[in-house]
Amino acid sequence: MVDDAAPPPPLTEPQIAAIVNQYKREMARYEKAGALVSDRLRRELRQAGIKHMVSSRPKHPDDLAEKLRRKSTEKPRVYNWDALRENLGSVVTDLAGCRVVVYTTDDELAVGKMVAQFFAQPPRTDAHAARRDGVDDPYWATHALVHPYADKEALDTTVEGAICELQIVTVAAHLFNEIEHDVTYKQRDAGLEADDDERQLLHEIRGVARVADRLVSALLEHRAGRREDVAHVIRDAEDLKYALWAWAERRVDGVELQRLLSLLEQSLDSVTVAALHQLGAVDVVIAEGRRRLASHHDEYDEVTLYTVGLLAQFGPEIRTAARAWRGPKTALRRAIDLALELESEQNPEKT
Amino acid sequence: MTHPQLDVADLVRALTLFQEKRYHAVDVFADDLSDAAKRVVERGTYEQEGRAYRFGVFRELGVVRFEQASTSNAAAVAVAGALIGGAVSAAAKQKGDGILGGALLGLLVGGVLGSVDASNNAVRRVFALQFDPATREWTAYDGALLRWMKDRLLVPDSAA
Repeated sequence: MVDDAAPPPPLTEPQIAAIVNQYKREMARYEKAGALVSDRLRRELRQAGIKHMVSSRPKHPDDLAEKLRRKSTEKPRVYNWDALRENLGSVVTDLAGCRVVVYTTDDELAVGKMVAQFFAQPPRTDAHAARRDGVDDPYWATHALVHPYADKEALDTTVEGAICELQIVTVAAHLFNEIEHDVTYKQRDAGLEADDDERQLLHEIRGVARVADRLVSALLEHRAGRREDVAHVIRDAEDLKYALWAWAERRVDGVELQRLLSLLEQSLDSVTVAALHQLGAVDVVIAEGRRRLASHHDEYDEVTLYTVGLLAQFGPEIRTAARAWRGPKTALRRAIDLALELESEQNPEKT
Repeated sequence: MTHPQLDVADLVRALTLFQEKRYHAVDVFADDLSDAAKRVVERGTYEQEGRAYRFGVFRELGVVRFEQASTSNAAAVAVAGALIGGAVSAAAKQKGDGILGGALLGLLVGGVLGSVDASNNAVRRVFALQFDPATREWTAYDGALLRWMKDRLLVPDSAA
């Protein structure tokens, strides 16, 4: 339906000041929301063996004032006084912000996929993780809107309903994005628009950033391929990730690599590339995991399926290890519990 | 407060945690054994419910290995008694004062996984355990000392 009514006028300075004052009183809430999101991501990315730098911040009140001035002119129907007064956080969705900087675009995509797994998201179309990567997009990154808690998680009422804007970006793209933002946005507002030379240099930096993205990916792929030395000792989740990829001769998606590594370290004298080979071909072990989870297998990532597949060789050990696990019930724990439950239903005498 | 210690029955319990033949031995630090258990170690062999076990003492490593034995080879390491005192001292030295905070660790030792490849990269099945003195039960160990304890407790094939 077309709204024929005239758009509301841009916000006045006193209105902006009133909204910023209101925000200042709520700022601690957004700071906490961003911190909760970044803490969770740090834990999960370490578990997933993805190198990362995570930071969070509440929006600075000066930056909010600047945004309100600009947006109430550009999008007056959205950035209108009534809506902002009623629920500032649902109109300005980056009051809490969290940035994840990763090495490669593949990692950016992998983190994007993890978002819905670890966070509840507001019911709006721009909440899901979406990657801006069009040839003409000046700015490459993945964005999502999240709540600082997972679905069905016990709520911290101080941040209930708070929205955090999550940005996932490669190191190279981050360099370009920041410079481009400073030059074209901020300096335009300060009356210092980019001249032709600056635009040309920005264009070149963007090209360099794209090339850097590709070179970093190529370098890491090459290093992953070298995890063929059978005596190589796997010492962390990232190392295990690349060793699995090399053995599978493809990417193996999944999050809980640290947990898998812990299980292997508990059960083998040394977790080496040779040990992975002895456990069987990755796809065979994953297929075993699928078989054990029956119709539920498509609810789980490949690392989880691989771990469940290891029940064929380490069933009693994994069962014993899982009993001692503390902390939240992750997808991997749920999958192991389910597989053991299904097994006991099929073979009650074995358990 | 006395430091909780392992009895021989606890070692048997570790070996029977999983199905028979999955793990043939459990390695523990010599100084974690009770005095009664040390006296049994000095004899070199042990029998319970018709099953024969034997001890191996690795003095330099500070480790005592408790393993299943057939009666025919049960006396093979009867020299254990001469070594236990040295092993206890070596174990204390390995750990350092108070580093384990009284934690009692054990490592189940099983067979080689799959086949030994041409480059002799054998992968052995083990399982890291921690003993709970309150319940006298063994549970899986996944703590910060996992790599360290495997490194210290697992007796190399050449020594075993």
